[in-house]
Amino acid sequence: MQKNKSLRGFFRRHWMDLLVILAVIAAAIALAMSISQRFKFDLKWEIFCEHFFENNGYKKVLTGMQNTALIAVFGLLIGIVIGTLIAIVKVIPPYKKLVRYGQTVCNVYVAFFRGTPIVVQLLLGYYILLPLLGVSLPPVTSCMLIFGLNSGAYISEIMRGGIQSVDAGQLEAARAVGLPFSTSMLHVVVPQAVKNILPTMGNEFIALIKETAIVGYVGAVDITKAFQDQGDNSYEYMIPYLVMALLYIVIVAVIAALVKLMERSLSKNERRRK
Amino acid sequence: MNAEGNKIPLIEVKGLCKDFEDTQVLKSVDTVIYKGDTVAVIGPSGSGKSTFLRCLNCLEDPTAGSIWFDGEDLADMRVDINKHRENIGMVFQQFNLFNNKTVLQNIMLAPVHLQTKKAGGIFAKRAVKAEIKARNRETALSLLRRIGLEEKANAYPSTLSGGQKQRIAIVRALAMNPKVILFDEPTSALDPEMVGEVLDLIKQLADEGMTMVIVTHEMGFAREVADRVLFMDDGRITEDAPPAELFTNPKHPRTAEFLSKVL
Ligand SMILES: Nc1ncnc2c1ncn2[C@@H]1O[C@H](COP(=O)(O)OP(=O)(O)O)[C@@H](O)[C@H]1O
Ligand SMILES: [Mg+2]
Repeated sequence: MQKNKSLRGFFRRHWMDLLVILAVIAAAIALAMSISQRFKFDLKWEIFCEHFFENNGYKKVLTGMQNTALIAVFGLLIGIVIGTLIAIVKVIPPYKKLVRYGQTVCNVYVAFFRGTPIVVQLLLGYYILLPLLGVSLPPVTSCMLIFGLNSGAYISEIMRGGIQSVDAGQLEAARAVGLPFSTSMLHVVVPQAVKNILPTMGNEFIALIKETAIVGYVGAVDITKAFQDQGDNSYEYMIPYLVMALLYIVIVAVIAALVKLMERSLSKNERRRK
Repeated sequence: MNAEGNKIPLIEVKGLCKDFEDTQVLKSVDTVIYKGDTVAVIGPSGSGKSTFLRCLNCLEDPTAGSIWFDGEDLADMRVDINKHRENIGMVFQQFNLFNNKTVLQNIMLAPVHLQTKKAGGIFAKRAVKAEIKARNRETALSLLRRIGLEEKANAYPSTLSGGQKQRIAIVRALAMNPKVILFDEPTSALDPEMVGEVLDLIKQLADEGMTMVIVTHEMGFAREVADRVLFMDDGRITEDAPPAELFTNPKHPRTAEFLSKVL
């Protein structure tokens, strides 16, 4: 009885608020319905389903997902290798001339890839540079390469921060037992740096997945291109584009969750390991 | 000491200077470290003790002067410093164990890497590599047994106490079979109850005839263990004497003043 009474009290106190909330919900439903009527949502949905399921649109989307994943994963891997090398070159004490030249080259590299839009890099790379070099690669492979070069520039900065966050005593201790600079970096400093920047790497991967949406410019079929093509084929773009956005959100959310899981298991290891 | 009772020089420091930008930190240091000696370096904070020690294995490159070791001048930028560092162990105030390696890996990393390199690096036969690893594992384990930390072989440094870390750092230096070990305030970062275990280990090494240069604020320890004490003040070695002499009868007023503060 007590509960009932308090419930009645709640209604008495908040009937105005409840009324407003109901009105808002009703208005939203009405709006959605009028929009859906005006835009002929049911018809569009039918067309979408027809092209997606019956005309094998989903196959193209699956290919697109695969290509997006390939470009992002290999782009990241290439980027990690290049980024780590650049970061190491940048932290070598610049005693030797060769080192200073190397550092200049790295600075120019990073400035170029951070200073121009990725679309420009893609167009330059695919239509100008690769043909000039006499290399003919399929679009997806070219994209992996160019995205790898691009993310290498960004990852080098992340990695340099990671290396600098490792206590200087670690490198000194390694050098003091007679290990060369390169060995000390690869066995002692870089592994600790990588652990420090792992969460940032997860974000970099997510950014990469979203950035790959432009590979249609050079004829690679990724998620975006697949849905665009379906729009072009059916002359209906609204639903394909909405579904495309939804698909990206789901993929990004799943990866973000995985990154978080990995982070947590890493810090757990640290405490548990004996 | 050789048969005639003469001491054999291991490190000869001549006119060693070190500048950081425009500040002169070492102002012409001359000294000789003899084989088998334990040399304590004392002096006020900021007098250049750490810098002196770090110049001996060129963690800091000397600005001027020479450091003769194994027939070569380490201050000469053309010498292969890595080769000499294998023979000059170093123990740091902050331990500096490799955080990403287990205790065993900490001890084995350098000897395994360097011996494998001498056997041909990545081209070394697999059996040879395995033999090097096994041999160094045995050495590392017997060193751990010696300090009673064998059961920590697979532990990571973050799980150890300061005293354990420092003893492992000492053992890591020992695993290289060095000709000399440099200690930079090895007990200054320790909780008081752990100082003893570290000093005991260093004492054992002194008794075994290991050559050591130890920067320390533990005056009692210096007095008991050192064959010689160097007093540093303002970038110079201003006094160099056996502990009995330096502690009881300092020649310089600065030394006397410093000792009156710390004793
Ligand atoms: N890397 C460095 N850069 C600039 N100054 C330094 C550096 N290392 C030491 N110094 C300076 O050199 C002086 C001596 O330092 P240090 O050798 O550490 O003295 P100690 O170990 O006797 O306390 C101090 O004034 C210190 O500020
Ligand atoms: Mg010091």
